[in-house]
Amino acid sequence: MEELKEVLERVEEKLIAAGKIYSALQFQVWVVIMTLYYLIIGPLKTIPWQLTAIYWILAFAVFAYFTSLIWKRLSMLYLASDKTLKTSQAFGASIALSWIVGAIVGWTLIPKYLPFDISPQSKLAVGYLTFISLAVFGMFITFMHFAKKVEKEMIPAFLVPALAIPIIPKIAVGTMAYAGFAVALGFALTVLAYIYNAFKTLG
Amino acid sequence: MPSKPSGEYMEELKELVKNHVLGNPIRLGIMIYILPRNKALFKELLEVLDVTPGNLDSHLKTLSKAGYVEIGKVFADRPRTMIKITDKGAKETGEYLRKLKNLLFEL
Repeated sequence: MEELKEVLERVEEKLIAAGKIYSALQFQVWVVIMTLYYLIIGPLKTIPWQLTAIYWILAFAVFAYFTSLIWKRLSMLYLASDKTLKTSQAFGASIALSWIVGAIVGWTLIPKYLPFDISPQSKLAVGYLTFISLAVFGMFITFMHFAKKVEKEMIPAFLVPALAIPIIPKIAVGTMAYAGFAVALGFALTVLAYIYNAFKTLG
Repeated sequence: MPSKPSGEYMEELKELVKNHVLGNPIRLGIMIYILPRNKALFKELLEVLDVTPGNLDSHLKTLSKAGYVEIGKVFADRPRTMIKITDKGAKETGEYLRKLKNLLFEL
């Protein structure tokens, strides 16, 4: 009996750890996509808008593909756990909505209507940080509502970009690069938190 | 809620293991292996569970009949049998493991 109890506990721990690793993968894919962009544009004197447009369209397609692979596995783990999603479709729609709202506010409203006297590059950087913080915060709220789960590990991914926003106006040059590094740092901390907690679960 | 005598929990445990599709350790092992992976090849399961192909096939058919898995073919270097977990399979496996754990901890 004792052996069986131990085996069951180990099984449970492994399933929880697997869920955390999948969540870490999701954020890490985004870090790779973002940092690769900076690597590509780094040597260029000017950045053609066509390059940016094509890259980010492809990037979202790659991100969506990896997300769907990871989500298939995560959703099975959620179904097996005590915390079941109300409806998978509503959950998915809520996640998509958080990214859409983040994109509208960050990429459209902020650069156009931000009242402060800062350069267009800085407005773009503030918009980018707002996009990421709003989108990831939306995901955090979605998990809290649908999965009844507080994904503490996700906090750096929206908090670090949000905290970087007031620093942007103080930066003379390279505001977009600074914003990119802030997002990369936030996501990297989130990945670390998921991996750490996965190993902690395994004991 | 008042706890029951341990004899009653033992009876409940015996009933659960006897009547449930996952009461068989091979079938439970299949579901636990596939759950975090979403799917697995027949060949993979043979290696992990160390059973004969005929034995594994029989257990997979039982799980498929219960709606826990879907069995299909994928074409790589040659056609291979792929076993995919269903939503029902994931949910039932989680529930079975929780019931089993709760009963064991009451004993």
